[in-house]
Amino acid sequence: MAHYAFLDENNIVTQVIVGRNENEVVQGISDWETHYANFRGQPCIRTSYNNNIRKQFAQPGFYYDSIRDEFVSLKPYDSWILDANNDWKAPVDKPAIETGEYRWDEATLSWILFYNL
Amino acid sequence: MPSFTRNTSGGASVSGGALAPRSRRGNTNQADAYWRGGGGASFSSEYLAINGGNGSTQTGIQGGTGGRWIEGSQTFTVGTAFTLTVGAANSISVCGISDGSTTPTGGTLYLGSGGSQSGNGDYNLGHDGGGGGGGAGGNGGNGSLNQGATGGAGRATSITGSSATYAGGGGGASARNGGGTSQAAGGSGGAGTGSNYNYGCAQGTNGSANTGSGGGGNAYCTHTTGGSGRVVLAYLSSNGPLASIDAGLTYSLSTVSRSGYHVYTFTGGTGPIIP
Repeated sequence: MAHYAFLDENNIVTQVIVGRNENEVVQGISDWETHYANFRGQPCIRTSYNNNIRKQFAQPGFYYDSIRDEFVSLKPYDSWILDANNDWKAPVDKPAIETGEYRWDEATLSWILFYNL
Repeated sequence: MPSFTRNTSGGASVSGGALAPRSRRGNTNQADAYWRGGGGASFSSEYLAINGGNGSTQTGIQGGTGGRWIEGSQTFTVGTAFTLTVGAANSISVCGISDGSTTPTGGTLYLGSGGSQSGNGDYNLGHDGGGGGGGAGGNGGNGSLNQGATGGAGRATSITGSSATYAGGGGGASARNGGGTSQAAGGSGGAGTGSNYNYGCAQGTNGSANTGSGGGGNAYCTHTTGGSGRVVLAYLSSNGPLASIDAGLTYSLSTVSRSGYHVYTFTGGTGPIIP
């Protein structure tokens, strides 16, 4: 099985389906992106459940960056910005420590450390 | 070959040529309609459409909800195209009418609610276990202190002739340094377990493919993905097999699993079928 994402006119993913494998030939058809796109009347591009292509597995609402050929995930917090690698980044870098975990706190725009969960 | 002119209004071309049974199969509505003069004959089919399940989000401790489950009966008109779509995670499965944009009316919807997280509801305090995701057969449990809850149960169906359970909710996430917590189980039907953080991650798991079940909740770990959905059609064998199934659809047909019925199980793709 392969997965395919349908895009709207703004390159936003509207639906993801499971479909034919990209190298599978059925009734003489092997270009499944085109086949599904023609049927639905929407651009259709393949996405990988295991994140092997186009950066990450597409989900409804994701944006497709056609220049980098990557899917961009939903913005996790209002204050975060998209970096050059199509990753969302907090306005403040996450501190690097060896133990404990940080969690972003949007209310204070800072990272909060949990030593004892 | 009869000499009358066939009325093909409402028909559609299909791969391999015009819509026409290759032979006059004995006693099927499809063939009878063709030889009588085309469209108009109809028959009823049971259907089950399960959406792809939801996974956890990057910031969500609640288990993913199982996919929307809708079942009922649908009237097929012989020769009229009907669209099916099998949704991946977080996407709808459609057992639609002609244009594929709608779901048959009159069906029954099953979708459980997710449980809530525990305590004071302030996840940033880090003391709340995640609620289990809702399943088609039940709601997810509420998380307790540090411990995620079991996901909601999936729902059983016997549309294929034997019982199977799908669309369970994912287990909620747990987190406590020093131990004492565990990975919360997903609901029945292939749902994922929640993560458990204890100075490191025991990662939650995804919903199983084609079950429409949710993925486990995530706390300080990597988010999960729900399982893809499925669509099942079952109708009386006297109506014969479907005349055409688009090449983009992946399916299996059983004429023996449920006595007297043709049972089609679609596990991938989008495209038209023609009864």
